[in-house]
Amino acid sequence: MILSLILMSLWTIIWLLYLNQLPAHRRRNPCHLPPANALQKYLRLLLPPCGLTAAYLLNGLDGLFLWAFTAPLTGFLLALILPYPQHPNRPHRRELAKRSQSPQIPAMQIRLSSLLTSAFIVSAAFLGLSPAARADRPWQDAHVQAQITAEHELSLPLAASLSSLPDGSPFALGVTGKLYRLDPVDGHLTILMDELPPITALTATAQGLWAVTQAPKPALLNIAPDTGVILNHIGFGSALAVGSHISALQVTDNKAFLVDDGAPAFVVIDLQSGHAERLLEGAPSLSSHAPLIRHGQPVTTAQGQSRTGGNVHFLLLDHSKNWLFYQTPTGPLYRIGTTILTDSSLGPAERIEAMTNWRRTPSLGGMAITRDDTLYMVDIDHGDLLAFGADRLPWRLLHDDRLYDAQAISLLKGRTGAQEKLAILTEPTAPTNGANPASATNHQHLLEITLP
Amino acid sequence: MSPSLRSILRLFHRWIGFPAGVFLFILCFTGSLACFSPEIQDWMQPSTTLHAPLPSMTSSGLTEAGRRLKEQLNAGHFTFLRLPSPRDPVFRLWHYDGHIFLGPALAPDTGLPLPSRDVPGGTFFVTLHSHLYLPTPWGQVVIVVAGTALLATLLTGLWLQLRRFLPDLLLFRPHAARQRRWLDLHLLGGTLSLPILFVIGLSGTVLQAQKLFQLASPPHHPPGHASRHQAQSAAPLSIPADTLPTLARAGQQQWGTVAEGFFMQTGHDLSLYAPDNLHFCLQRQALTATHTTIPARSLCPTLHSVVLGLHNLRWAGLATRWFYCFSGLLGCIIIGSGMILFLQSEQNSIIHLSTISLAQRSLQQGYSALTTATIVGLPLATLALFWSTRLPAPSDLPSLLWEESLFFGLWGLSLLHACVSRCAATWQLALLAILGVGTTGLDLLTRPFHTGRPLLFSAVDALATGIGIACLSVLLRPIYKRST
Repeated sequence: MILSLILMSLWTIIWLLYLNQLPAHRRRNPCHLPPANALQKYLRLLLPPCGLTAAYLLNGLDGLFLWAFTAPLTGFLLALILPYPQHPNRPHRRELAKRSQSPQIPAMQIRLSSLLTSAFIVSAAFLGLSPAARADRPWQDAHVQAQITAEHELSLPLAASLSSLPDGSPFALGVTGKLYRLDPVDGHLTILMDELPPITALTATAQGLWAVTQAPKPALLNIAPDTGVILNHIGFGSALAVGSHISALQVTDNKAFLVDDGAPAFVVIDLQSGHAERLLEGAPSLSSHAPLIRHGQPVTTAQGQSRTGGNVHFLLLDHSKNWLFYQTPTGPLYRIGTTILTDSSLGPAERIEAMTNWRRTPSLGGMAITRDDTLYMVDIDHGDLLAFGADRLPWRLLHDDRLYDAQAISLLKGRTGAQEKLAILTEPTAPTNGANPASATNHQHLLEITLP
Repeated sequence: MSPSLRSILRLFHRWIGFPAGVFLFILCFTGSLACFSPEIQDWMQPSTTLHAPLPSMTSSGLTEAGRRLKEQLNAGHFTFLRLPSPRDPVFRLWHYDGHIFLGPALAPDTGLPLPSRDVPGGTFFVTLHSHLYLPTPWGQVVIVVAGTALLATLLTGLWLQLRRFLPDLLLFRPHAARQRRWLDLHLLGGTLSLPILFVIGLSGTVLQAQKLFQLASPPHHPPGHASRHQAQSAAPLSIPADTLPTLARAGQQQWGTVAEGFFMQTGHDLSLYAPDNLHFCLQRQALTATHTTIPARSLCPTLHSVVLGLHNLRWAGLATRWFYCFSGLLGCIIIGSGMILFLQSEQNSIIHLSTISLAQRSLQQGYSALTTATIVGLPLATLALFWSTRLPAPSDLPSLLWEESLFFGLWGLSLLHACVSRCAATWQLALLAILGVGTTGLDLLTRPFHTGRPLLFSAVDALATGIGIACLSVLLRPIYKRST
């Protein structure tokens, strides 16, 4: 009997190690040991034969059979029990559960403890069930505020798109689809190459610039940032639908992830094979369900009707390249694992289930992410610069009236140093009711912000 | 895997699995109970469990038991005497009635009969497991077909799940939709216990197939050969009074123990057979008055004995038998969840139809009834059998007949009830919950409080209570969900 208890403990450890090495999107049952490493792998492989040998030496043939019987029964019991501490049976439980999949969230460590001690199970359940835990924390003023250190008037009209290379060099898109290098010191724009086809979306990575062109033929281009030479050219095949318009893209070592705000969907392109696939077409989280608010007022169309936020517009990739954050201009912010989009064994239902509501946001004029996975957003409803990090603490870093007109945001040089900087593109100020018409300008501006 | 291949595999898995599942569930359930056949016998006959400390077998007790055995044999009853063991601490003077072993229990120290009545006992479940109470060879045929279907279902299931076998090994989503939940449970149990199910299923099928081959080509006997029964009935047996104690001592020297060994007549001799739990492979070694020692043989003389040892696990210790029993119950969960999934998918296939014909409706009701009678009806009939052994039988019926009739009658009624009523499962679950939860009370009321084997009674009561609580939780789940 003692041997069977030892074997059950052994198999519990082996199963937990097995769960821990699964990618987060596969690990529906929580196992929050320290991140899987080589030691865990060797333990997982070595413990079963060691257990088998020990069982045979201690109890002979009986031991061998006990070893074989305890394995499935322990796994079965563990799989039945583990999901319960994770999912309190209350609204938003799915959201809470999905949040727990990120290995860097402190809340998960509470769950690890909850697995290990019954006392923590109770406290975690109470914590999970309480309304305060389920609600989003309100935005709070940061103790040290960010500062606008410079403002430059731009000479050329730009589209709402800014992106920076890892060294902090920003690039911008003109309204005609021209690609410009932006000098953050004086706001001077230099065209990269005249012969490039008109570009609709842009991102800058360590592999160079990646851009989407929709004419004459839709394609993903890899462009050398110093010369503007096209290094790679990948077609979309049949991955675009009628009315498609790629609004943002992110690129990993071998995949490109794009969002289509014309006909809402994700497009995933394999950079090696060039195979493009259209996923999650029409998923509800890819469309806005609220009016776009600027300066406390709904933005209206030419016909005077309220404008909705449209479809998915922002797409960011975290530093580990495991998670994509996306949202429409009116939010909320969603998160999905990159593996969810690349794992061909998953079906549409599983992918939709994996689109996690990450946080409600106000109407945004731009969003950027730093190396420590802090999201910076420009709130055009209240004119604020917001920060939301992996610690899930929402901070208001700055309030400035110029931020009501924000169009795009990007990180600047110094992003890896102590002093991080942001560039925010603002649109020409329109005279508002009662305001002095002289204050309106016809040019866009670039604001340089030093982060605390 | 191409969608067409997947559809074909799924079709095979479902349509082989469901009909075979009915029999496989019975086999898994009764197999789990058969692991504790002597213990069930003792629970059903509480007077045979004696008081602590349990007396051990004495020479005078064995002589007296031998005298009673000789009386039975001379009266023309083909009886054998099983020796006491820690699992069943009394002599059993048993004969085979064509289905189960019956006979009085004798005190191990005096050899005198203990006050008890015949009950179906643990051998009832062994018989149900080995040939489903069907006449030979139909029981064996059904089991071989069901066993082959199990192997086919396991292989098709493995093929279907091959891609997700390792990544989803421990995946269970209790808060998902109902069908997904059942599928997760089915896959979880199926993938984890696949090797064990395969070994148990294969060994059981091989054993029954061997029996079928033997039936098809019986061993050739020379002219004038008499069967054991003919041989013993030809002339009265003469056994000297000290034969049994002498053989018991010889057996003790030969095997180290004679607990669970048995005396049985072979020809004109009385032989002491070695306990079945002596070796991994079953060997029916026997000592007789003229051959009190036997030469050492290989541990596993035949393939049949290896397969028997692998399937029956009679040699195994208590913990291993418990885990074997739980593995059988896990098999029940896998098969039961598979049947429920089949039922749900059949319902889903017609739910969108604007008009459902009477035939389709009847077919659905039939599937549902079979599932209910299998998953709920069998445990219900089993608990009712346990209860009936502790309660008085109707005066005009022999108790044994009443108990067996109650088991099969209730099981049949469960099927009938499920055929005519849509709420049958709920009512039957409620009855099962009452019987399960009430078993402890019944046990305490119908046996002496102080017993030599408190753990045995507690274990059976706890299992029955566990079944009862599981049923209650299933019944109360909708109410709980509504309230939250």
